Amino acid sequence: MTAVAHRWTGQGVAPGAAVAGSWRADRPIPAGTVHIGPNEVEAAFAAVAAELEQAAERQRQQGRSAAADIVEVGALIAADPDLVDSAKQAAGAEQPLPAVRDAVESYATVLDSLPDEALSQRAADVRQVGRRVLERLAYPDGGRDAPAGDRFVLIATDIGPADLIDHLGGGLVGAVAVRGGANSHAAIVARSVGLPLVTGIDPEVLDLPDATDLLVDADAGTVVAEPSATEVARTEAASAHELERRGRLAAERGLPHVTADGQPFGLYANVASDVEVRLALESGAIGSGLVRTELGFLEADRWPGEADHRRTLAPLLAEAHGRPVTVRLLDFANDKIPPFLSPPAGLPSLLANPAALTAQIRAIVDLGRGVGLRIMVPMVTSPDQVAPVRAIVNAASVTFGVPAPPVGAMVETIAAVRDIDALCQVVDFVSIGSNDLTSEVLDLDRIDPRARTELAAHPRVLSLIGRVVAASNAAGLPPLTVCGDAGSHPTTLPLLLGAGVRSVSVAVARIDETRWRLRRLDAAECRTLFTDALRLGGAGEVAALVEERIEVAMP
Amino acid sequence: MPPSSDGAVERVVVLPKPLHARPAGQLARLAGRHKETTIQLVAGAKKANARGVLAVMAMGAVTGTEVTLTVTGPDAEAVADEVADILTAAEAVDG
Repeated sequence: MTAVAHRWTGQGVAPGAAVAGSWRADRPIPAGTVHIGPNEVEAAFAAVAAELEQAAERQRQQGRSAAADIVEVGALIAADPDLVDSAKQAAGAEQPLPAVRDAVESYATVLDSLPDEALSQRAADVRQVGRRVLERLAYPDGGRDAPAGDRFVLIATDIGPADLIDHLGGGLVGAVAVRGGANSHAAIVARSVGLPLVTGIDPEVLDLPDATDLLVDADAGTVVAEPSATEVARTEAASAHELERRGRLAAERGLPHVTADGQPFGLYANVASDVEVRLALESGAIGSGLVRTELGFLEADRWPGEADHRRTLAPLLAEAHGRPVTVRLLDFANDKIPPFLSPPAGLPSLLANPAALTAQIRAIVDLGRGVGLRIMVPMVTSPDQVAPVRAIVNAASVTFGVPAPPVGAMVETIAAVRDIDALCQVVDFVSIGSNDLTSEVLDLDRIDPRARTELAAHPRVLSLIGRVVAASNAAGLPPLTVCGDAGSHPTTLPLLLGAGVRSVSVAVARIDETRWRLRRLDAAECRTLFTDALRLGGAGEVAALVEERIEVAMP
Repeated sequence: MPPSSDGAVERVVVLPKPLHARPAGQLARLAGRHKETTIQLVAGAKKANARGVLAVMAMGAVTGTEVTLTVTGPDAEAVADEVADILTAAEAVDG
């Protein structure tokens, strides 16, 4: 290494900080001739299969069944007789390593081309198995088997969820990737297990020799090679504390969902992928209170068809089998408008395209027969927007021979609150979208960073939430769910409880923390708090009141 | 369906769920436990031997696909039952 301090800036996509020796996961295979034959290839596949099988078993013993299942697929792929045979034949080539790599790649390509998303995603697993086999062949002394030292930071051009899951509990303390964003599966996994992950780092980080001291600070979005002793000490103290905190929060999984004064509450997750469903159920969520269906179509050039919806929904709904799941119809509004629509888009554009609406509803109704399905209409502004949706839901239910699922409204506009009593007469349930409601009430642009979660504590927002809860209860609807960041925020959560909310749907990474808080809040005390908060002048004053009255000791 | 003269047992099932990695893996494990028995799956124009998880997934069989399974060898009848069970079982629930 040169004496120059190396410091790079990227995007922290999973919070936390860690420092350890680096380990590059996707080291290129060496050029030049390696003398290997079919026997070495067969042995390498067998070793990789055994290694992944053991990794899966380790995950299972630690109670991470979802992670174990994901890794186990890799073990089965490494044991696939067709794959192994074709790689063994490739070993006879003049340049055996690239030939083996090509053989593996041809299997990945076949899966890639499948229309079913859950199956096409397995192509990445095939490539990962191939990478491990090639590393074994290229470094027969086992130098590439595992990172040196008992703690390491993983570096790669692309990081898949399995790259992380693989090494959980095996010394992985942080990860750095050149590509990838906050919505990648790797980022979701990293957040849910508390692993700091920084993406968008300059590719020169890939050239660091293994075991270079590397500090990953995902909170600051920075990566530092050969950090100073002071930086190391500070990071280590913080990460040890964080690890302990997460462990104590997770220890309450499985405890009853009741508040300190015995009020039962519902705890659900907001999800958009099968991976999130797995992690949510593992964290003890009952199901999903909000399935976001538009995220895969934000770059679409036309309305998604029924096959498109089936492709994205099938893995998610299969994963949620037997659980309550509320699927929200396409919400192409605010900061989520694809190129083929012009603002304000939203629900009116969907209702104006009955074919598009029908395509999505048919896919949901048919694929949702294995879950406790509910269908939610986003951004409702008027009760008469519900009937056309219900008519299509009923028709689809007849077609597929299933009972019609409940149809509800996401209340997240002032107009919907204004008409809430009439709305409650035409729906089977309501949910509150706290983020959009807060933005509209306080006239904040949704993508304005000032639209912070704590502003949901503004008395004007609180009074609207209270009104919706009262109307829903008066109409005899099932307990409503708040789907938004307010449901997991220390200031707003007690206020929601005080407003009569008994069910929240939160980000997967917030489930443990939200359960911890709810189990320690007293609903009666929160009721008084809520009533008093309504008389105050602004969100800041309310936050001060909450801080004064409510104390939940966090680990 | 009774065994035909060459001892092959044939069944036809309609998939209530896509043939994803999990059932494909269960099939591969089953085939691994019955090395003398051959389990062949056919879905439309695609065929796969159940011992290979990749070939089974590559059939791309989704919900509603009709899959014909042919089992030959020892315990063909019992193995065919197990294959049909795997293909028609509901997805396991985590947690």
